[in-house]
Amino acid sequence: MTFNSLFFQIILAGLALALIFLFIKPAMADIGELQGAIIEYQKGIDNIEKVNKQIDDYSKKITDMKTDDKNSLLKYMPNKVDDVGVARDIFNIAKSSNLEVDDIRFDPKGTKVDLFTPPSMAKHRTMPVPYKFTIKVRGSYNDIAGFMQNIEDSDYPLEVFGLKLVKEGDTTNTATTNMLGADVEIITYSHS
Amino acid sequence: MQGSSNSSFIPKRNPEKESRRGGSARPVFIGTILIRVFFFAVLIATIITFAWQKIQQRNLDAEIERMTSMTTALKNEQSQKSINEILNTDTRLFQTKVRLERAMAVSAVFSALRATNVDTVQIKNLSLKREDATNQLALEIDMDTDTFDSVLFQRKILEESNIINISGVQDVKLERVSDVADSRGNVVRSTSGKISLNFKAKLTIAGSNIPQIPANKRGLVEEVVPVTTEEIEELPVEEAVEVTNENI
Repeated sequence: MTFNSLFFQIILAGLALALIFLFIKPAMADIGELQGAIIEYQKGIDNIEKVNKQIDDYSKKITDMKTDDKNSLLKYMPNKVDDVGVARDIFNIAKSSNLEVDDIRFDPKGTKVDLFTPPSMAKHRTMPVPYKFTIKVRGSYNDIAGFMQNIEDSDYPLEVFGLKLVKEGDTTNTATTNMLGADVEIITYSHS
Repeated sequence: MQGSSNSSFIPKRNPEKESRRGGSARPVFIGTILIRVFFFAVLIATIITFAWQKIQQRNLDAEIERMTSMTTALKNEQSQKSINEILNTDTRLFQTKVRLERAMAVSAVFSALRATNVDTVQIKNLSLKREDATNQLALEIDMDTDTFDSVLFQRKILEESNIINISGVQDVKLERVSDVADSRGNVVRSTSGKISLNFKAKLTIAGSNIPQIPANKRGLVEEVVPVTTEEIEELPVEEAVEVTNENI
């Protein structure tokens, strides 16, 4: 057999074709998959870098917040409601509004209130938890109106969700100094 | 000397064989060349493909290792603490924004009622309920007067109010008893024949009509600035890639 013989040429051609179909073609497919996987991992790495940058940015924003603003936020939306403290505050507001306080209660079993919920919100966000206080007071129309105003001016939310105003005594005009009885439902919130 | 060439011990070559050996070149077929070129090209391609495959595998391994280290760094305690602080602060700001957007000045109801209450009509009792979902207050007021004209006038005043929305006047009841108080304040039944008209007014007040005004901005004559959420800088977490423990 010589290198120029037809048989040898056939063997060479067969070997070449075998290399193409048995090695080169599957290897190219494998390389394609590897490149696809590399692109996916690079996308994931880009996302992680983006997240890291956002974490750094937001952490800096929080760090740069003024201490007064942070304290105000924590006071407005505390981690937990101090029921005795809030009851004391409501009582003091009522007394400073020249009202007689007959009763003040806190609902210990939690409060079911039909609160507004935004139609869509990020899944890590939750709605504030409501707590109900009920106070019974007596005073004039103007004093009760002043009590409402003072309630609104507090440093944390004290929202009037219910009010029953009843005249006590005779039937003259409410704008005078006749005594009124008021049952007020006040809601405050905690962060969690 | 003719015989001397025939007696030489060096054998003479066959002239026919001479011409055959040093004569014309052997033919090389084009097919042979092509097949050899093809074979060597495939061989080189095989080597290149093998090397390229190894390089890509190495690149992939490097990317996997890099991603693993970044993921591990993100899961460490310090990063988790930062993430939790961010999520916590964002939720707190969001909750504050939601409540501030729905802040209502219930005290304004008292002012509105005083402004719309007709002198001849007395409010006996009032019940108010906040409907947070629709951001409005629902009021039911029991009123007392002595003439139908007062009832109609009171209804007209309430209808014309910009703040109050009246659903209607209901349960109008007439009583022929008029109670007066004696000098000691005791109620005495009178027989003068005066009438007393009791009626109920159902009202709603939209929260947007009674915005809460901060104490330091109250009393401004020209401009009333309600509390707005523009004063609260909320972290725009919803615009970013969502960072949760589930994605890490």
